[in-house]
Amino acid sequence: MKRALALLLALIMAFGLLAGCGSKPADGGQDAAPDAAADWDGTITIVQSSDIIGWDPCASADVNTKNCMKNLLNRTFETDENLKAIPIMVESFEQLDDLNWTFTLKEGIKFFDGTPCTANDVKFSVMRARETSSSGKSLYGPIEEFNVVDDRTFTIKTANVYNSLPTALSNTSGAVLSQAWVEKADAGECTWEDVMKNGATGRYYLGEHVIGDHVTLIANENYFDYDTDGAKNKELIFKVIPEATTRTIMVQTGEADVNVNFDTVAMAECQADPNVQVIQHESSRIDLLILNTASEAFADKRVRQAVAFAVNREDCLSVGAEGYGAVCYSSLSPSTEGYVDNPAGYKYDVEKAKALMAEAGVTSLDVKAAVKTDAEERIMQVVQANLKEIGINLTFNRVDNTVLTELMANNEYDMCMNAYAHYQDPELFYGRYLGTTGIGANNYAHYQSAEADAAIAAAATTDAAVRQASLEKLCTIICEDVPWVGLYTEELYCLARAGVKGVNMNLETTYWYHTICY
Amino acid sequence: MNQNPVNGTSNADLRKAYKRQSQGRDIWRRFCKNKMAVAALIVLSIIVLAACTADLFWDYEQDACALNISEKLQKPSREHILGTDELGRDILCRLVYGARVSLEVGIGAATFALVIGAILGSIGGYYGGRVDSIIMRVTDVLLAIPGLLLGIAIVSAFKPTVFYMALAFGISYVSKFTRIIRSAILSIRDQEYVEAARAIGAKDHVIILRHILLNCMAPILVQYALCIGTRILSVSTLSFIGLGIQAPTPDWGSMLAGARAYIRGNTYLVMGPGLALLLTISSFNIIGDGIRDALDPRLKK
Amino acid sequence: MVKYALKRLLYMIPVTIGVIFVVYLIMYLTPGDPVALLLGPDATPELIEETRAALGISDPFFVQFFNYVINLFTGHFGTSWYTGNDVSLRLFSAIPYTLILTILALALALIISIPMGVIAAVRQNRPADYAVSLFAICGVSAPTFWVGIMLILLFSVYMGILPSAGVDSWESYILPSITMSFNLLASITRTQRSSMLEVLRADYIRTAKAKGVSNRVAVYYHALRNAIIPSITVAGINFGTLMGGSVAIETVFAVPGVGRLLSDSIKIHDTPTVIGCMVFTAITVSIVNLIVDMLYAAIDPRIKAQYLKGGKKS
Repeated sequence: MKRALALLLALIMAFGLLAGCGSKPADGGQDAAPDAAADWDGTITIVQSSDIIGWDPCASADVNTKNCMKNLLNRTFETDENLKAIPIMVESFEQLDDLNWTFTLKEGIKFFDGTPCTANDVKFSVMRARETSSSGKSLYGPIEEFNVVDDRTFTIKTANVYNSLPTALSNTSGAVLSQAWVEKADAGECTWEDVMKNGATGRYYLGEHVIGDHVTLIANENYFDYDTDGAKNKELIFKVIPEATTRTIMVQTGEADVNVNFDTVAMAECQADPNVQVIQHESSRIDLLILNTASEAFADKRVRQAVAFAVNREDCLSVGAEGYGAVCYSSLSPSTEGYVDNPAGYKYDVEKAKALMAEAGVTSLDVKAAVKTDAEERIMQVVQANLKEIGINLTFNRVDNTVLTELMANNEYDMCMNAYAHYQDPELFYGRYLGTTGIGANNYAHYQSAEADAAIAAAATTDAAVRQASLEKLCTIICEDVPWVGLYTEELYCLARAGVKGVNMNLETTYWYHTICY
Repeated sequence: MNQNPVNGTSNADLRKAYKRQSQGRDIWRRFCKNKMAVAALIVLSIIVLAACTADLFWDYEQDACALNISEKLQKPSREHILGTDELGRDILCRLVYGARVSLEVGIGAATFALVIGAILGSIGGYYGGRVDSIIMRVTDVLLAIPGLLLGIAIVSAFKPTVFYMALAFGISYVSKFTRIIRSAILSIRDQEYVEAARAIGAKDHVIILRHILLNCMAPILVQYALCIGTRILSVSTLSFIGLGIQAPTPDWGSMLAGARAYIRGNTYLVMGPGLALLLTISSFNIIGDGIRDALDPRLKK
Repeated sequence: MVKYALKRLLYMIPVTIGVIFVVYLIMYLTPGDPVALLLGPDATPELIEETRAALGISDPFFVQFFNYVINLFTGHFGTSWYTGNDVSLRLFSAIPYTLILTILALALALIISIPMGVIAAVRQNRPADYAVSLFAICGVSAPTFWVGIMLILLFSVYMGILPSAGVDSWESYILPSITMSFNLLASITRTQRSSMLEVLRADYIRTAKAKGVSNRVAVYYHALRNAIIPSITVAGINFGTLMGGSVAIETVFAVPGVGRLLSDSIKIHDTPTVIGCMVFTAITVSIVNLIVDMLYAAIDPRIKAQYLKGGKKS
């Protein structure tokens, strides 16, 4: 008995020592990469930070929900590596003139339950999104007429020039669903999960959703393009792992194949680990502070400008992305069409910031901010220290990603953080994020400017010179008004097991999980 | 007694005082024999002393709160004995200041629980009847909700400040103190000296405070020490899940939460606050045990 | 016995209602507008009013509370402000994980701690006793989430033998249940040690030994049987703490249980779900306390007698 006890004690102490010393080099080797490919069962496990909120594509604008749905549900268009819209369900489409478009669907598209998908279903889905979803409302608002010509052909007439219509149609809220099934779900005769299993079309259909734990998508072998563009894996599992460290560990130990929410904090360990690969993609994603212009604190432009002068971007980059990126003083991402580099001349200048505060007549200010992730929390601590210098007392709360839209729309916070990437169609993007149409939805800053709205509207033209000039003007206006304080642009990273192929990343995010395989 | 009331009572008082004093000295002597308990008391004194005198060595704003990003994540060195954290602050300095929050909330919660528990327990135990049964039902209800969850709910409803945290985590301990004090009172309520005090016209609250509470000091003290330990643990859990005290105030739980992301390359980051929590809480527990053992020498040979 | 059980069971009802009241009151005071969360920013004022009425949140507090209790008895926990579905949907899918974890942790704690406590008591003031006592005091004091991180580092990262997160296989439950049992294990060990010490000095053990019963039988049969009662009580009392600990542990190990649902729901201001989680936990704790009381009464008839006669426990 005594010996057993001594053994136990020794074990405990060994554990303490081992854990204490830490930084033992990753020895790997238990399951080396080549073997993983050989006995691959066709299942790809992806770890992400939060669960799917609900299965109605019009009901939620949450990033992780949308990411999952992008793989599950076909839209008429999808966005590719350069965030350009490419036709998926559409065989051909044509912009007849400034306002009129005609589209022809591919042949043989069927819903999961085998019923054919027609132009009627497309119309129903898009119009439903316009009615029920806030992003659908701003995206499909300009559609004036939606005419179904025959089962495979439909025409759209927009109220004004709307070059970004294909991009708009690639949004998940415009996913093509079976009218019959959606009506059943809306009437409460079946669940939305049933719709995802029967009444939609895409490369996968929904296998199961264990709330809080995982979602399984099963490859749709009846997909109309299965041989050329179908799923290369048999099953996609989305596992919900809130802890960043755990997500990384799971890929390192082989419990998961891909971590799409990789935290650069673990970069050094992962680069040294032969079992995993860090996939990098250039990105123009810009991390920024969003100042709520509708709040009392930031209603004054000079106070917002003071913030832009007071924040030390180098420090933010260091704590937010471990230095993997470049500081940015503009409010928009450098690769945006019509980008102007720092037109307002911001730099880290506390004196200038203090002067602006004095000019605004503000001596002390209480500001409430919302943060979503560990990295944002660290950045916000830097911002907190910086703003203290100019008399702004910042407190912040951790909130969930999924409720940020609502919280900001309800003016519950004066400040939050987000990251945006370059968009192929900036006028569409900025209309939603910085225009009057986006207020209450994606326009977290509640930014309202007649000038900016005019510039956004003017950019919606086929005349390249006018478009360029308007977008440059827009960029200048926004940098002057600073509803967004740019901090830095970062590269995109994704962590995968060694041997994993086909991880697609675009300027914004990891996308198209159907090509991932060993 | 009747012939010489003044002399009589003073004699009795003296005797009682002497007895109490010698009893106290006895307990203290036994406590000192317990090496573990003494060690814990010394450790705890050092922690408390450090927390109180931190301002002599550091400047709170400058060293514990101000960021120094260029020096972030430094391994322990001569300059920074425990290294620097993910925002470049000296960990030792933050640990010492972090003790303040932990101790404040821990002691605050325990004191709050003790005071409310003492009031409820005394009323219930002394008067009995309907009041008593209502109080007991309330404690039953509070006992049914896990303290940590109740605390989290209350803190999220109000604000994560030291005051509210102490209140939120104290409430769940009220029941324990109420029960201890109530049963102690029940066991001595009808004893002679209490009846004697009542007979000479002492007020109820005087009787409760002087005669009854003083007599059940021992279990209260034990529970008080344990309560502080438990509540420090609760606060760190609250901070760990991201609902705790506002940054940049140093706090052990939020230090752990912030360090979690760096844990693999920089394990020393979680050792400091983790061990600080372990040491502080175990000190309170060992002291609680020590008091119990000292009071009930049967348990120790 | 049946009468006693029935009485205790009936007593659970007012306690449960009291618990719901306390939780409901706290949540009632929590700021946040569910209607804005549910409907999104585009809602018309009429729709907002309609939804307010449908959710019953413009009613006075006591009406809301009363309705909640009535609904609860039919198994409805209200509508989540976040998903728009009944809270029970997510709650009921979370419950099994937490229950499995808690029961495993409880079992683990009892299985390990009782022998440890006995060994420490039998070998009082010998190295084994000191080792167990030191372990127990550290176990009681260690922050569980910290222990969890350390266990993941050791067993998942460095040794690679156990999964670090999720609930895929039985192996996934090993680390979280060990972590969860840590505090309880330590406190039962302490209780077992001291109650064993007390019992070993009791007259009837001395008598037994004097009558020639071997030391082993005296310790493991006569003494242990009596000394185990306080340990069971401690296990019962700490069951609530055990379940409360799931808040941090389920986050660390990515277990989709009630604790994580609770902390997530707090972060997204989903008050009905928070209430649901707390009420569920409280009811479970009450049931376990009831079971422990029954066990206690079954082992020690004096308690039952006292309860039946006096009508209340001191």
